[in-house]
Amino acid sequence: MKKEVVVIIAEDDEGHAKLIRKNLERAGIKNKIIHFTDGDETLDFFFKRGKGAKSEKGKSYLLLLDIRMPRVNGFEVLRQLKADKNLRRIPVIMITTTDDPKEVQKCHEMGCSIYISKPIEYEKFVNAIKQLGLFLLVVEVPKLNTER
Amino acid sequence: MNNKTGEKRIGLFSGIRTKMLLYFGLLFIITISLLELSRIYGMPFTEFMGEHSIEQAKVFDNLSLVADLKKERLERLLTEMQNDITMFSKDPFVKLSIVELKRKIQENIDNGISGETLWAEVKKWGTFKELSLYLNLINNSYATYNEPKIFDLKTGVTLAWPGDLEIGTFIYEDSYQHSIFNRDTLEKAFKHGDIYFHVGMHKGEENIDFDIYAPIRDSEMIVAVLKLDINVSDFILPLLHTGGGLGKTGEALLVDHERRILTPLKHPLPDETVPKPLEYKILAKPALFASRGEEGLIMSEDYRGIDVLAAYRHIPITSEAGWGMVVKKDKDEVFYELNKTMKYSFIISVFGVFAFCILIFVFINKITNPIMNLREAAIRVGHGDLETTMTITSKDEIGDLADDFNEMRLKLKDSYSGLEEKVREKTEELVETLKDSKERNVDLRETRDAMLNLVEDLETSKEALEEEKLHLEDIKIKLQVLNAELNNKNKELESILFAASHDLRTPLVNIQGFGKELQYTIDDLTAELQKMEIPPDIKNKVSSLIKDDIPESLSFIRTGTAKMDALLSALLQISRLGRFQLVLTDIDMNTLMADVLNSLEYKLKDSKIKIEVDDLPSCTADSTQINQVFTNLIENAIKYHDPSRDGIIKVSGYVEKDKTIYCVEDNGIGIAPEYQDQIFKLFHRLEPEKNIGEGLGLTIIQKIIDKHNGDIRVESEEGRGSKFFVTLAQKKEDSV
Repeated sequence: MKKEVVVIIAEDDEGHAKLIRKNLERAGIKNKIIHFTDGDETLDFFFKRGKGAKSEKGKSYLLLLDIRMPRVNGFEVLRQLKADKNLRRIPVIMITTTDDPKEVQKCHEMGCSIYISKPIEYEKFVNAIKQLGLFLLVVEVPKLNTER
Repeated sequence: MNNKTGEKRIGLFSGIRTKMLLYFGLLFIITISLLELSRIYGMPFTEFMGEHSIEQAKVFDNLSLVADLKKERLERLLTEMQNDITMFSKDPFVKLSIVELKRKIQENIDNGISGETLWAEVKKWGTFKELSLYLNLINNSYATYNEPKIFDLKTGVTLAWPGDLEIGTFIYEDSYQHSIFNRDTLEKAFKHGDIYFHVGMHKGEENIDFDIYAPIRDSEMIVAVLKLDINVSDFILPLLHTGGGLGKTGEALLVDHERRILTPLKHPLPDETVPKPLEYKILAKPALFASRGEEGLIMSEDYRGIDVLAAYRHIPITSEAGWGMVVKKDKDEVFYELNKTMKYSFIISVFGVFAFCILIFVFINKITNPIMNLREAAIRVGHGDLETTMTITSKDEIGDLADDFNEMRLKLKDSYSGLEEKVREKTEELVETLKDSKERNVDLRETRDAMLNLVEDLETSKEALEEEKLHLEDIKIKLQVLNAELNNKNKELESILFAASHDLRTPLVNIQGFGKELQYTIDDLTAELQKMEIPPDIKNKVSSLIKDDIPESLSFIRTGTAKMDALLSALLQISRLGRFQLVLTDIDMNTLMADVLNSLEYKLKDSKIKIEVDDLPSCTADSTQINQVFTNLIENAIKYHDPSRDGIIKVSGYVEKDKTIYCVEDNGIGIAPEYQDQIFKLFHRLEPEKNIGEGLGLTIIQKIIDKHNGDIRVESEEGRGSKFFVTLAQKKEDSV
């Protein structure tokens, strides 16, 4: 993955976020990582609202999205992004504690790229993140607004 | 059909007899009439003329003959008369005598002698006496002519006469009643010829006179005129009326050029008046044509307006004019015989028809009587009289029909007698049955009374039941309320369960994750420690802490979190089962079982357990959940196998009515009878110390099977093994 791709982690649990970050780094991902703790912040960033950080034109983003978050949950974030003509191009990877097959299917129907379940067995989690890291290394992520 | 309607059916004009009479009678009459008509009036479009035309032609021939005969005779008479008068008038003695006489008279007149004196003198003269003698001779020797007279043309004075009576009288004064006759008339006539005919009635006379005048010339000078008088009634009438051949109504008549009749007519006029000759003019065609100079035959009306057949002829008298003669006969008379023949023919044919009818009547009766008999017999049979025998001996079709009828009747009779026999038997049976039913009736009456009592009782019970029903409905409503509350509670519970187990996982991930991180840190620390140069005792102590104590703590943490995670997973699963709807499909169980075994392969590889799967019948269920059921069952069988012997797990199935029943059998540790009821309860687990498991597998199975309206039960013997029976619907429509 090219360096300029920014990884956005939408995760309400600091511990989870930290673990994801650590494992990504351990897997060799050196990209810039921004962390938001709820769906609202995440949407504000992408839709350039509020006081926080905002997405920038010409940059590529990748979103790691948790489903269960306070205020605005992951489904809603995914729905809004996919409803936007421009933002729908951002790859979204669901990382969540649920392994309920019906929720997995729901996410795929809504347009997520990858669905990763956070296993309690840490080895598996690390393995999953590692594989994600490897995937991210080879994947070509489109830039925001470049074609406008 | 009864007798009355049977009689009614043959109307007056619809019976065979009447019809035949009518048709044959008509045929006969028409034939005779046509024959007779063609005989009389001829055949149209053929040369056959018919008696009518023949008769007509015959009559016309006869009339022509008569007319020609009469015309010839009349003409001969006229010619004779002309010859006679010419002979007399040209006699030289007459001429010389007249010239002598006239000269002497003139001398006397010149001498002043006139009137009676003169004529008395003349009568003494020898010339006069000789001339009178001559005329007297003519009068006596010719019966045809009366009173020959010679008179002076200029004065009209009579010069000679058979006697001496009319001497000196004036002829012009002696004029006719209906015509003018004077010197001019005669002079005009004599310019064209030497004869003048005049038909007229002298004044004061009733008879018609036919007079003929001729001049006496002395070298072209007319010195006097000779007159001969012919009496018509004596001479012409017999000529017209004799000869016969004209029958009763036939008549010959003469008209002059003005169509005045010259002779009295045979018949009076339609107004009963008798027409007078020379007064009455005929207007009818035959007379008209004849007076105009035409001749021919005609069928027309005559002067009376009656149809006649007539022949008309023209008789020229002078060069300018002539008479018409009509010979005619009444048509009625002509065809009288013919009409009479026709009348008789008609009468004969009517009689013929009568005779024919009688014959036909007799003849047809011969045909219809058997038919009538047959019909009466049929009616009698129709009324049930099967004893009637047809006695028709004729050997025609009707005879055959009668035979057939008899045969039919006999067959009917046979079948009837059989029927009667059967009816008798049935009647007897009925009488028997009736007796029985009378007895039964008594029983029934008693039963009825009992029933009535029962009904009263029942009505009482019914009231009680209705009260009970009301009560039950109250309870039902309460139960429904309770049920709704229960459902709400259940849903609430499930959502709490879902939220709790989900949220509980988040910290668990952290504990697990950071425990692992701690392990990485310790690994790093151990590596660093090896590099560091520290005193061996400290190094050993630290090393033992790092190698033994910390990993032990971490191990407990990891095991604990693993167990908790399993429990949470199971709880999530249970809550999910409550939340999601079933998706029912027809499941090929052989495929499903293969999937199940495939996912469990890694567990089986490590154990010494053999799995045998029969050919399984299909069922209708939610395939994901049924997959879960069998996964759990086989997992359990693996989990609780008896380590002292080789494990065998058998999966089989069979169909019973609309259900499919599957059996998972193992030869594991088995379940003690006292636990068999509890194994499906939440968190129950056999031998908690020995096996790692959440203890929720059977609970989940129970829940899934309940949702399918199926059944799960267990048969087990401790130390021998267990059999789990799962019952599911075989077909979709039978499941709920």
